[in-house]
This record gives sequence, structure tokens and C-alpha cells, in this order.
Amino acid sequence: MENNNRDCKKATFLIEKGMHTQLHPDEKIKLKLHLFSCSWCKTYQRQSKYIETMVGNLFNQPKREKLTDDFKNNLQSLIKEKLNK
Amino acid sequence: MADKNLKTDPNLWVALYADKLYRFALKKVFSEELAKDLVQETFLAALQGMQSFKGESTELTWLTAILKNKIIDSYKKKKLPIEQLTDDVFFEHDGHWKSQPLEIGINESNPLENKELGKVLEECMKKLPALWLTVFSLKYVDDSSTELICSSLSITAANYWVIVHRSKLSLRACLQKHWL
Repeated sequence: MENNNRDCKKATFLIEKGMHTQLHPDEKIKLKLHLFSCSWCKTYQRQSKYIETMVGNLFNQPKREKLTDDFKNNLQSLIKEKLNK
Repeated sequence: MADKNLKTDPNLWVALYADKLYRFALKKVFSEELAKDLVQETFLAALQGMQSFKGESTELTWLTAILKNKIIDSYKKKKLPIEQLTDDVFFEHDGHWKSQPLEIGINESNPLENKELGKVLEECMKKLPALWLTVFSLKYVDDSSTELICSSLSITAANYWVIVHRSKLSLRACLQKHWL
């Protein structure tokens, strides 16, 4: 078997790439073989999928923040000033 | 001043759209100060370009499009380097893990606990280099394609994958450190 199939850096790279796009069939096989014998990367894969979901949730959670009245008033005056120029 | 042909009234912008635009910006830049600046820049740019607003889209859509461009400009202005890509903290030269990825206490049956985990994750994300965070936000907020993200940020596809890989490794390590 190829030496580089023990390469966890490459394997985790393929795990990430595979979550965003279709892997090449060669890459798929390499990754499968690696995961078959590497429990550390299997742990990584499971966690990475979960983190992926959480990151998605984080970005899409509704925001409730508001601008301060001071900031809005300044902005309003600024617009007025520009309009009157 | 008041031009009757205009399809938009700038005097109402702040009241109608400032908070909405601010929240949109916050989702993308993770910084209140920068988000405020971007809202202000958006209104100023809109004032200059309001003759071109034909009312074909809603005002909010139009303003949001300006804001998006401002956000991307702000990333470009920083001229962010492809940070730390050569310095490998996670793997040995032969590609082996430097240290074992440990279990993180993710409780999939307890959403409440994971809400706390989400907060830790948010803190971890803020520690990512700006360019990396930008890649994430373009991907998740806009659901942009890889090609679009690469062209917006002037990075190669190869660099994009390296950034995605490193970001995830960093997030995982940060969660392990602060949540275990």
C-alpha cells in the first residue's frame, strides 16, 4: 500500500474538501482506506461534521442587535447635510 | 434637494433600514464597530447613487446590495495575507497528528447544552484570522459558490481548500481546549 495513505494531514484535508464538493474517485478510495485504519481521523471526521452544522446555525441565527439612538441621529444629520449640499 | 423623480426618500432610510442593515453586517463581520462603519458607508454610497435607483427592486434589496459590496471591499482593503499556511501546528512532517484529537463533549441529545457550546464556538470563530472567517461567512451567509468566494477574495481554489481545512482544524482545537 502507498506510503502516503498514512498521512492524516492529507486525510483530514480530503474530509473537509469532501464536505464542500465531490471528491475525485481516487481521493474517495484513499480517504476510505485511511479511515478504515485510523481512529483519530474518524473522530475528527465525526466532530468536523458536527462543527459544520453548528457554524451554519451560528451564522443563520437571527440577530436582535440594534444601533444606538445616538448613532442613528448622527447618521440622520449626516444624510440631511449631504442632501442639502 | 427633493427631486420628485427619485424613487426613494433618503430621509427615511435610517428609520426604516439602519437596524436591518446593521444586523446583516454583524452576521458577516463579527465586529460591532466595523458593522456600524459599513452601514454609514452604505448610506453615503446610496446617496451618491440614488439617481440610478429605479425602484425595480425594493429599497432594502438595493441598500443590501450596496452593503454587500462594502463588506467585500472592507476585506480587500485589509490586503489580508494568506496567514500561517506554512506553519503547521497540527501535523508532523510525515502528516501524522501531533496530538490525538480528543473527544469533545458534544451532547447531541441535549440542545440546551449545545447552545452553550455554540457560544464557545462563536468565541473560537472570532479568534480565526480575518480572511478565514470571511471565507466562512461568504459560504454560510450567502451560500456563495467556491468560485465566487475565490474571485471575491482574490484567492486561488487551492488556497481556498487549505483555508477551509486550517479553519476547521483550528475551530476543533479551540473547542477541545475550551469545552472539554
